Amino acid sequence: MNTWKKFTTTLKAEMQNIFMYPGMILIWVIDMFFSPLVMLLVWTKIGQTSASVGDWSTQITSYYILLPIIILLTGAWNGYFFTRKIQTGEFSTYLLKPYSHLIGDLANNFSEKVLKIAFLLPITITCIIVLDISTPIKNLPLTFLALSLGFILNFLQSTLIGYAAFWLIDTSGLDNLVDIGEFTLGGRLVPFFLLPSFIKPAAAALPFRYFRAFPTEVLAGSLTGPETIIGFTAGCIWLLVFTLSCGLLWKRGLKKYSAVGG
Amino acid sequence: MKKHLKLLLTFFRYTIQTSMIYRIDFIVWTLVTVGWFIFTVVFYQLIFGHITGIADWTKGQIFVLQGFYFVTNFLFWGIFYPSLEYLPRKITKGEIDFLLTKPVNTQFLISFNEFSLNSFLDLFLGIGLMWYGFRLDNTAPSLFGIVQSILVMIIIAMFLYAGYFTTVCLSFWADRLENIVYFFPQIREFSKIPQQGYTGAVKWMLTFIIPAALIATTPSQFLFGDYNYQHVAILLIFAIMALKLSNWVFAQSIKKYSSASS
Repeated sequence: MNTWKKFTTTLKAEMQNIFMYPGMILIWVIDMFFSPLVMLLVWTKIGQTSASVGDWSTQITSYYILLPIIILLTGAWNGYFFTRKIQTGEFSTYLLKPYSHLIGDLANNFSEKVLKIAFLLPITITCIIVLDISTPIKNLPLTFLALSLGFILNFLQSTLIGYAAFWLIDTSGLDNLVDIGEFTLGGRLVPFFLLPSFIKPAAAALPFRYFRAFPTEVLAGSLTGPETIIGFTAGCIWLLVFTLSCGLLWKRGLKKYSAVGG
Repeated sequence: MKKHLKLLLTFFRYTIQTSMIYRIDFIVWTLVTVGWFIFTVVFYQLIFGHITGIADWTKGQIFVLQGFYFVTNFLFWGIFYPSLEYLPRKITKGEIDFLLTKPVNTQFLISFNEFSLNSFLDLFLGIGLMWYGFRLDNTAPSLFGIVQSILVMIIIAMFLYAGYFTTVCLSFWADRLENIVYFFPQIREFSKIPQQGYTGAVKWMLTFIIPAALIATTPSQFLFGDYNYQHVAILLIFAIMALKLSNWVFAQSIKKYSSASS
């Protein structure tokens, strides 16, 4: 069986599984809206009293309305499940399967996204129409590339956190540390264009921006040509770093694995 | 009552022991808490570089408000969440049987059997933020204001616990609703802005339907000497109703529970 067939077979199984629990998916979707919605309210309030922020009000609205869908499309949670498999020793069964555990993780990711999109897309489209947000169609191919880059980076980052469980057993704290980086420097709470100028170079050099903020900026059409090229280059460099790190941690982690309960 | 206090003490001792076993986890989570604290301070320092106030609240008052947000962090992640986190999984595995046979109130046992030691740091950081806020404004709260503010916070804690417990009980009714434990804490996001910052239908909803906007605003106002007893009355009614509802929902949920293991 080739890799594609293995993937599609696993995907079918995951789809059947996920459609049994729509309640869980609906809660995740609602959850995705809370933080951007509150931040939109905060920045709108600030924009009413500050001219320097008020000038950005259109960009801020489109940014936070588009952010939940970008969070969904680029999201990855395989590290959480991988950690649980290490904790329970369930990972041992994956070592016997004739394909990489990453195929199963990808299938789970895509299957959950199908159902989440079904809930999230109508809400986002309604917001876009009601708030009259311009969506530049010409950016769609670039947006697709930025979204793909964001997803792969997120997936690899989550994989790295999962692999850390070979040593740490519980990686929830580490996961939250990465969250802080993403929320503060990755545009979840403060859009990149509103960051103070002395923080911007550091935020641009770190990987967090390329997880979600960069695809959102490309979709909202708020970047110039050179900014877009620099963004893609930096994202690709992090892609290389994450891929190499995953390979290294996987090799060393397997030697460390002691199959708890297995 | 004495029996319950004795049990709480035993559970707290157990929490200290488990925290000492997983030391790296404890350190990482402490870093997470401190990280969020630093972010909050830096975020509002930057915002107040552009503005002089949010909804007529000064910079110092906003820091007091954020301090109360940290106190609710302590309530959720330090007190309520550690016990309720595994409730959906226990229901799926049929592990509630063991709790039902114990000669103690089952709701109490389910709700308060474990705590998170590092989240206690949130309480101290919250108080620190309040102190910093008052220092910025060169003012100090009165003893009368502090006592009343603590009493208001106790009412809010009752409301938050009851609301949280009731929503987590939904996992008795729907399969694998494991992420329900993250849903209710999200309503606190709305308390990051003073209640006066909301307008129209949103303000009405966040005051009279789900009083999320009052969670940090009301205790802060009592510290400032603005004794808004109307808000306290709203919170008290909600707290009593929510507690009664949580008891009723739990009783109904237990009737629905069909031990999966037997």
